[in-house]
Amino acid sequence: MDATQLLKGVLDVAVLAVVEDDDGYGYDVVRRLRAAGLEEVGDASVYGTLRRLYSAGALTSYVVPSEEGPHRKYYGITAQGRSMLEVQRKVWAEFATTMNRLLAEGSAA
Amino acid sequence: MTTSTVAPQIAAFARAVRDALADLPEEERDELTEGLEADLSEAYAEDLSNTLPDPVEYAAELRSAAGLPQRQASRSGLFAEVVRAGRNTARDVLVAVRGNAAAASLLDFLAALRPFWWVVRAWVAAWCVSTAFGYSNGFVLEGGWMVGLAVFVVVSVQWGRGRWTFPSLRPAVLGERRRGGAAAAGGAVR
Repeated sequence: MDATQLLKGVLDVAVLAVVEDDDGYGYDVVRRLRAAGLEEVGDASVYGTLRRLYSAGALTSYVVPSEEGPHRKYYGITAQGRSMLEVQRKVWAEFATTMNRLLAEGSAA
Repeated sequence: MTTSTVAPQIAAFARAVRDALADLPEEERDELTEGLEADLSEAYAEDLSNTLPDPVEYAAELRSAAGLPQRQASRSGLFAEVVRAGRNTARDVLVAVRGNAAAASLLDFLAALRPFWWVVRAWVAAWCVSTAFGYSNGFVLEGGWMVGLAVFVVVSVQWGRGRWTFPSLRPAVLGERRRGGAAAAGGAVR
């Protein structure tokens, strides 16, 4: 099975989860996702997802100027983003339970 | 933006990505690529074995993840750009006109005159054909050409009413009109 295909469906909730406690800029979010085990995640996919979540009202954004380098764009979660994350957590938990049961060895008799 | 400390290849890559997103509205593109140099600099400073990917593919991934439409296949053609720009302008004008009460009522008034235009276009067609066959009596059609005119009027009116369809022609003509109308309706709701 191709894990990158699976990742597409859950990238939104994964991104929300890693900015739940701390705001982050694009590459920072990529690094958090990779550190959490999603090593295959593409940086452009993450930046696009951040932008889409921002458009949907789940994230806020602000630019932090830098003296010695290019500006960084930070994203933070909104109240709407938090409630979206809560809903998605439940959806995921149910889905994962269902799939685990379905795929458990010996259950398909 | 302070770009002096951005590696030249990073700056060039970011520029190529923006070029590949050139069909998007400027604001959308800027929002999507703001901070890109900072992110890229960090991503590629951290892992020097990384090589920069193809900017066009990178841009495609960026826009698909952002839920934006993929670039049209005819992206590089100047003609396609002009047609797209013209179509967008026409749509914007229609939306703007629909938003203005006086202009909208004028548009409705002109729309009510459509049957008149159907007759006019039939007459123009009949006149063109008669002229092509060497008939010349100014702009007046007489004798047998009156019959020809009558045929053109029937065809034109039936076509205008949507009773007769010309499979190859009609979707092209009406499809555009419907889409324009839908866009105008959307604009009015907004």
